[in-house]
Formats: sequence, structure tokens, C-alpha cells
Amino acid sequence: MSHTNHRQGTAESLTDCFATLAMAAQGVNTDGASEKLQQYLKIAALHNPVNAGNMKVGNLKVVGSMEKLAAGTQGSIVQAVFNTEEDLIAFLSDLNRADLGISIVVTGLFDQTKRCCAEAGLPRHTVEYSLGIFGKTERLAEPPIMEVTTMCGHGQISFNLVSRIVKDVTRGAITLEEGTDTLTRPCICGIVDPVRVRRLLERLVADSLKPVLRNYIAMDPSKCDKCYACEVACVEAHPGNNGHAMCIVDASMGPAISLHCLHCASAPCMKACSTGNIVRDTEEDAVYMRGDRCIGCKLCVSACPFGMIVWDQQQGQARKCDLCVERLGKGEDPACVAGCPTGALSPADNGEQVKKRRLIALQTTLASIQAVEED
Amino acid sequence: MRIDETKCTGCLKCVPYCPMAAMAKVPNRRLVAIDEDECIECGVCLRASVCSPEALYQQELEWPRSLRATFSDPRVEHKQTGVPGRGTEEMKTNDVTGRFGPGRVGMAAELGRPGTGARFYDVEKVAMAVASLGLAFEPKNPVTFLMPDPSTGKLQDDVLNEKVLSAIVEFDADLEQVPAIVAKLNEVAKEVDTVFSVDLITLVDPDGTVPVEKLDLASLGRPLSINGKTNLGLGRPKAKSLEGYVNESH
Repeated sequence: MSHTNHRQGTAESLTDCFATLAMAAQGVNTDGASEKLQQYLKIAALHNPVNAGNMKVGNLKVVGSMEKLAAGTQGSIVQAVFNTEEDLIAFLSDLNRADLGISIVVTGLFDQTKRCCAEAGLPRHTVEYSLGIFGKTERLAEPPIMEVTTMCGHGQISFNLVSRIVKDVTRGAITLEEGTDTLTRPCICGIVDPVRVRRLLERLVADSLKPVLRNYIAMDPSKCDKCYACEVACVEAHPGNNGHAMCIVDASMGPAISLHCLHCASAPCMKACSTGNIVRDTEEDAVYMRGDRCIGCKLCVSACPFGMIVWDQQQGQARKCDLCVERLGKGEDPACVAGCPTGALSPADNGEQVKKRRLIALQTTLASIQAVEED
Repeated sequence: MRIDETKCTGCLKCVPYCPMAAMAKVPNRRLVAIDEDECIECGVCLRASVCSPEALYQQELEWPRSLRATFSDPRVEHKQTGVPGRGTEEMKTNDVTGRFGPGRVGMAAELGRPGTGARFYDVEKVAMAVASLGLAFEPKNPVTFLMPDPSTGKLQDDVLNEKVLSAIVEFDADLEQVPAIVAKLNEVAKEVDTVFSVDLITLVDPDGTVPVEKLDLASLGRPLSINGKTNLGLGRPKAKSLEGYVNESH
């Protein structure tokens, strides 16, 4: 039932997506209904349907033509999908005139379908709302994927298929059109809107291509005065760290380098921690320790490729930089950055930082070329 | 669904199609295996036509496993109701059947939808919660046919562990009962190991207003959706029980 109900998405995403269906009532008007369902498909074909289907035969993509769909409508339910109010109104007006005598249902945003029914001179008879999804909703896929899969109320499009197609389009193995086609085909009834699938797929691919910007503290060694003010600021800002600084100024190799946790995307320390003491703050994208769950196993100390997990011998617990998430939340810079008197430290994200360094490298190269030319 | 091990090359093309994620590669072998307990016999993998060695095949299904296909493969007609899909006409033909009259609402909990699938023991939990409110199940719905005594909502024992893509617990009620029903469904939602989508159906008043829009369901965390279905009243003959109530100006 209600295979066109429960479509997920915002009003914007659901706009101009209309699924219609025709069916006979068992034991009431089934006699001669087969021809009427065929006629419904014939009329639909006149108004730019973006998809159509016959539950006993298949959808337009698989079957190939509206004519083939119309063969074998006995005891079936037939569907057609439209993308504009004009097409829907024209289709409904034609159906009204044709007076087929079988039940017709239209699905879409109520604001739009109400207007279209009125335009076509059809008072609404019965309406069906969704009250949403109950129960273990954590078992569902992320919202953009659900927007694709819930277009087929029979659940024929799996969450995994959408993820697979997003990956394949992203890496260029298939085109957006091929991906759309693959996702449209499993819905036998032909009520999936391929134009909307394409739009959603495009967004999913764009999202997966977004560079992941990781927050971390960037450092300019040429500005460092080796004053250790950053270490002091860190200790002061984190009384719980028992006097240990999480940023470490190291001048043993010549120029001073302030070492910080890089809040790695794959965070080996987080993976190594067996008690769930190390977690990621999704808002600020910082990897930090909850503190209360550390059992002193030192697995994170071994796992960190940069040696940035500090071992607190006195307390028998591991410590690490939390990127001052609390301060970030208040719009303040991390304590070490705020405490640096020379501006050697700055909060940065990979994308911007890399761009800046490339620009500097480019400028230096250009300057040296110019110098050579002038000589 | 089964896989002919002698034909499968382990290419994994079929794997993402499975709505239940019941297909997986066999470790250290070039072979895909189907978890038969999780497989709902929907036929999606076979219809995808991606298996070039044709290793996938539909085995004969015996009761109660055959229920999986009837509830999961949209092409299969339910014998008891004659309707394909999940077997009920609900509001789609209300203009002809008059199933939902003035002052009444049609409701349904669609277990396993969207995309998670459901075992009949979870369907039974929701059905029993509905029955406890003294509500009557729709007789022309395939789930109702699995109840030896529909007044209890209990299903016959041999089907309880069967898993399907979705199954619909369908009933009707007075308009005023809706908030109490929604509260009950919120309660039983905590007890099921799956999801369910809830439908609310009502006639449109002759002046064009929709009675359920007056109900406060948002305070129960279940506001009415912005999208949904509309029956246009084009079916003939018109339901006698709705005569004089429905706007029939066209």
C-alpha cells in the first residue's frame, strides 16, 4: 500500500515531483479495467512523463516504451510521473474528460497537488498523510540517500546501491546518467522520478568530493622566539593535564618547531583506544580525550605516528591536545595561539594552509627567476 | 534466492543491490554467499540482471518461507486480496469502496519501511498494541489473514520468524482516537527491532478542508507530512456509503 507515500525530503527537494497511479477496485470495477489502464497510459504519454510503469510488466526504463508498458495491464496497477504543474494539470484534465471510471491517485507536495486538482476541476476525494518513521531510525541511511531510496515505496532500491553508485560516479567509473539509470531501474512500478534521482545523485557526488578540512595548529618557524609562552598557556588552560603541555616547542634540530597533535582524519590513537576514551568532536573536528575512561594502557601512545600523546607518569594516564574545543566554541583561538606573542602559531585548515604555502613557493620561485633575468 | 556455487565467479556485482545487505563475499574464496535467514526473496538481485554467469536462481519456496516473496516482491499478487505489491487497496480506491467514511480515519503501520525489512514477530508487536485499543483490522489486508483471531492482533506462530521487506498493519478508527493511537504507536516503537512508517487517511470535507489537519499531532512529535497522496474521486461506480458527503461537482 501507499507505495508513493513517505517520500523523504525538504519542500524544495520534493517540488515538481508528481507520481500518479490508476487501479481498479477488486470485485467492483475490475471488468474491462485492463483497457482503461491502457488508456491511462496512452493519455499519460501525451504529457511528457519522466517515468511510467506497470506493476505486472515493469518500468519504462526496463521495458523501453509506453506501448510495451500498456501490454498486459490485466489485474495490474499503472503509474506515470510528471515534473511540472502544467503537465500534471493537463494530464488530470484529460483524465477528467476521458471519464475512465477507475480510481486515480496523485502524490506530491500537498500545496502543489491541491492547486493542480483545482485547476483540473477535480475536488479532492481522500487524502493520505505520512506521520513519519517510527522505531529504530538509527538503522536508516543518511538523509540524502533516504531521499533517493524512499521514492520507491517497495524498498527495491537498497541503501548500499546508492552508496555504490555515488562512489562509482565520484571516481569517474560511470557517468551521472549511467548512475541515474542504475538507480531508477530496480523500481518496478516506475514511480521513481529519474530527474530527481539525477539531482540528488549530483549533490551526493559533490558532497563526497568536498575536501575534508581538518583543524589543527599551524606554525611558522621563522617567527618563533623560543619563548615557550604557548606551552605555558596550554598548561594554564588545562588544569586537568597536571602540568603537562600538549604543544611542545622543540629547538633541538636548529630552528624551533612547535609540535601539535594533527587531529588526524583517521586518528590511529582513537582506533587504538579500547575504552572509548578518545573521541572526535564533530563540530570542531577535534580528536580529544574524555579523561574518565583512560585505563593507562598506553596503546594510544604507541599508535600516534607523531609522538603527540603525552604520558602522565604521576596519574598513570595519557594526555593529548583537545584543540581547546571549548574556547573554539566560544569563538576564541586555542590557548597556545592566543598565548603566542609573535604570531608564529595560527589555527588553520589544510586547504587554506596548503594554498598559502603554494602561493609563497610560487612567489619565491618567480622572484628568483626575475633575479636571474635581471642579472 | 540462491547462488549456484559452480557458476558464481565472485565478481560482487550483485552485492550492492540487496536491500537487506544479505549478500557478501565468502572470505578467501571467489564466491558470493546469501544469508538465507536475512534474504527476503524480493528478487531484486536477480532482476538487476548483473550476473553474467547466471549463478543466481530462485528456488521453490514452501510455506512459510513463501510469505517472504509475497510481501517483498511487488509483482506477486496476494492470493487473499488479489492485489499485487503489499496487498491492500487502502485509499487508492476509496472513491469506489468507501472504506473510509465521514468522521473516520484509515491508519496503517508499515513495518520494515523504509529499507530495513521486518520480522513478523515485530509486526505482531505493533498489531497487538493496536488491538489493545479495541481497534478493528482491515479485513482485506494480507497481514489480517495471518491472525487466527484478529481481535488480539496475534499472528499464527509458524510465520513469526519470517522476514519481509515490509508488511502493513492496517486499521481504521474515529477521528478523535488518532492522538491516543499515535501515542500508543510511539510506545510500541521502542519495542521493535526495526522501523515502521505510519499512514493517516481521511476523506476531504465537501468544503475542501481536511479533518485531520485540525488534530494536534505535532505535540506527539508526529506532525503531518507536507507531501502525500490524493485520491481524485474519478472511480465508478461511486461508493454508495459516501453519497451526499463527498464533493462531486465534476
